Amino acid sequence: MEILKWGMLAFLVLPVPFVLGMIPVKYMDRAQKTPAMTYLCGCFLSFAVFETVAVPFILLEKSFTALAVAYTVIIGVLFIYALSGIRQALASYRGWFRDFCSEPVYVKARWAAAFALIGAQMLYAVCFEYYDGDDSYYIAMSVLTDTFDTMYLRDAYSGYISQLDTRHAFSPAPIYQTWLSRLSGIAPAAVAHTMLAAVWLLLMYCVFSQIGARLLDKEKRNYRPVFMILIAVWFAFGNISLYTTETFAMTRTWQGKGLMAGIVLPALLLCFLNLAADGINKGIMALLVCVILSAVFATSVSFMLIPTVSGLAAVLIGLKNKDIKISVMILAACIPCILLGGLYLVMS
Amino acid sequence: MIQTIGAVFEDIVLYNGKSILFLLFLAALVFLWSVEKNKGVRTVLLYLPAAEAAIFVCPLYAWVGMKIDKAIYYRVFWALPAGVLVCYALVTLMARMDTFKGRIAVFVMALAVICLNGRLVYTNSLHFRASNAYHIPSQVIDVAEALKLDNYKPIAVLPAELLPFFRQYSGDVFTPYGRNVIEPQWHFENELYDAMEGNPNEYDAAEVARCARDEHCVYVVLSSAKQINGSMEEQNYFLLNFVQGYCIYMDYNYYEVLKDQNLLDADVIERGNAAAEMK
Repeated sequence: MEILKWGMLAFLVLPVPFVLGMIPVKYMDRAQKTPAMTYLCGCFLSFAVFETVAVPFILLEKSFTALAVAYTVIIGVLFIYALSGIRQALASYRGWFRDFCSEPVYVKARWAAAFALIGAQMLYAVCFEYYDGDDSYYIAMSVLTDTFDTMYLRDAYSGYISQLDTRHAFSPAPIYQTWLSRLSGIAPAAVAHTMLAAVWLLLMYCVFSQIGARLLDKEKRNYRPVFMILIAVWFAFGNISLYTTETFAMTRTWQGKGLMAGIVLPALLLCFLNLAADGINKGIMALLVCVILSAVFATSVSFMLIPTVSGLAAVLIGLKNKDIKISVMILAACIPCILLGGLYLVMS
Repeated sequence: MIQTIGAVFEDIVLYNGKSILFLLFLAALVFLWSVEKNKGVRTVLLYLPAAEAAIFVCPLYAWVGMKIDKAIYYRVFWALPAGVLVCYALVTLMARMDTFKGRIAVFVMALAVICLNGRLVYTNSLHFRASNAYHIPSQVIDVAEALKLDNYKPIAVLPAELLPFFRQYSGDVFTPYGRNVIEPQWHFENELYDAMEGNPNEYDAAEVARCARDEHCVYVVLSSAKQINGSMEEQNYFLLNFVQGYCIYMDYNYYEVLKDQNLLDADVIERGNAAAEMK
């Protein structure tokens, strides 16, 4: 029975996002049609949909069960829609697979080293626990949501009834973990500490692998695995203070803050790299919107950070491409974040 | 404004720790500025971080950011892609080497710089081998299971060391306070917490019982590592269970009320009756 529960959880965090990712990837260039890009697109799509669906339910103080049903139905419909194009999507990976197989042996050896480093980090995340005080809010909120079927209406520390916690209500990453827990039957603490700690590390390295692929093309292509090795070592040795991106990404991978630092912001960089290189692309624009909504899903810091970074990127990429349309599109992608930020300020 | 500039500088120093992170970031920026030809990469990887850095240290922006939440302003530095920039600069340098030996030398130097500059995240003293899938101490799980009732959600007061983990496992038991009381910077005060933790070596049974009743606690969980001045039995409590070094006492008054309302589990009633007989 327990193995079935873990199997269900693994299904929800691995194949489901992968299949969902085929929707935006369909509109991307051939170079972007890779399994890593598909997986990361699917993860960001599922976070963005959760943010969009969950916030109204939370603010209207509806039950978690109602949210879980609504989100499951939407994800189910998207999953079936994505499945209808699976043959076409899998065919598009043939080019990527052929390229990978035709790599020289020494490049394959470099990839093997990169995979080994990343695999070791994932294994460590599963086998070792890390004490972080903030879990007693985030995971506690997940547990209380599951127990009482309410969202942000209980004090995470005592369990007593409280007013709606508007500070956290706009960033429902813990509620998403409750959804994973409810559907799989695995407790929220185990979902976060054993499954997401490893799987979101994989997601993080998927994002960096796509950044590496974007930066190192043509004659520098063979250095992609070297870039990944250096990134993996950089993160492993990134604990230079309590405050760095790397500390948050490696020790609090499952928390919204860790998600923001290690995954969402690099994914934003990936979107900008693609937009600067290729101009407007439907698939990348869809990913950008999902990444921006995922930033809000992760943490309320996004209300200040995302418009700033996106605004600067819009100006710079617009100037580089000599195209005001791309600037407008990037700024337009920020509108959901700005609207939610405005509502956050009003409610706080 | 000068205060804001000082606070930003303080954030940078704290973020940087004892490393040369910002120096590496600047070195990578300067190096790539001089060698990177791709305009798209230059825009996103050089001009954008440079513009971000200028905005983040700008006193007006920082003032607004710190007005919202001063304690977390440092998080804006997450947007600077230091890792990508440094690793890409190192790979670019490696690719520019003409010989195999040169490339190997750059790679080894790159690893050395990253390792010497940083600190291995796994040597952090807060990492432990996990004893279960929850990644929380097993005594928390055992205590939570012992406190759980099938038909009622009781209030229990717990020793401080269990507080950060307890709610991560169970929502079935209320607590008068949680991890919020442990963090001194949050200035949360509670008389019951003072009674429980004020003396590191001893509990004052009368004081703990009085404060626990004020907070409507059904259970009082005491660490067996500490002495008890007086006894909980004298305060009309009985020992319900002893779990992994923790004594779980139940308030006899609540026991009677909950028993009358058929809200207690059979094993709790059995132990309560046995305690009453011994009394």
